[in-house]
Amino acid sequence: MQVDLNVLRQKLKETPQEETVDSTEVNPYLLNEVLRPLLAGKELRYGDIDYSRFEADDLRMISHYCDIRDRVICRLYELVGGIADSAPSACSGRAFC
Amino acid sequence: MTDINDYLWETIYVLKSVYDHDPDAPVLNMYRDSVIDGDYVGEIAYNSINQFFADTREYYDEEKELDIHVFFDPVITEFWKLCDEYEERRRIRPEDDTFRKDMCRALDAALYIPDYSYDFRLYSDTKHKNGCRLVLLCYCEFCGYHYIPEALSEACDCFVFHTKQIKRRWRRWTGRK
Repeated sequence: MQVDLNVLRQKLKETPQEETVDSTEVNPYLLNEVLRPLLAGKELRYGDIDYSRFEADDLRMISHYCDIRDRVICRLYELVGGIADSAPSACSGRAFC
Repeated sequence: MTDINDYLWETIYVLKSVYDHDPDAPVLNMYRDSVIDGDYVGEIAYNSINQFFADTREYYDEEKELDIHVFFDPVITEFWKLCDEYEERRRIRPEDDTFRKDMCRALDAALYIPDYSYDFRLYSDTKHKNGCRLVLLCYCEFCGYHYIPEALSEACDCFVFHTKQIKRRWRRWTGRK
């Protein structure tokens, strides 16, 4: 695999920032008040949870959302690993004076 | 950092089942200050078993390596008593009583757990010295404790719902409010 880092950097800059996994079906309370703080490393206690703000089925949904999210992250790590493992090659043209 | 896995959501699922049944259930208070962690799933589920019926008794049969949970509740007794009265009034056998059959079917569905190592028994004899009860048997290989609270919550709802049904029918016959 050959990657031109300049092109990659340019493409990444141009790509709009958006959610990699669709969260429209996920209960907003569980997403914003439970999952995101947990991902940010915050320690939540069972007493912090407001059980009236979601349905039992919402927990199945967010668990599924986390699975998809984990798979996306895995693929991203594979891609990053692939780039990191590739041997560097010199530019064919002169790059500096 | 908290490990976010399926078990973590299961712990919340179990407590949500308890909360939906009774927002003031003691087990919610018991885990109030515990940090959310999937490792608690078995413990929370086990401690939630006694939150659904008025009286829960636990036994362990060492010989058979069997966990036995026995549930008593006025709603269980009331339903079977109403069935007895209904059958007496209509002069039908218990096996021909549609309320009994509907209840057994509903409980069968409510207490279905995706695990092969468990069973439950219904004791509906209102004249038996031990009273009416629901018994859950968990064999040594059972590992579905996290399914039990939701199953028990549904079982409890079944008794409440079918008791209302039989009372409604009763009122229609007798013309009483």
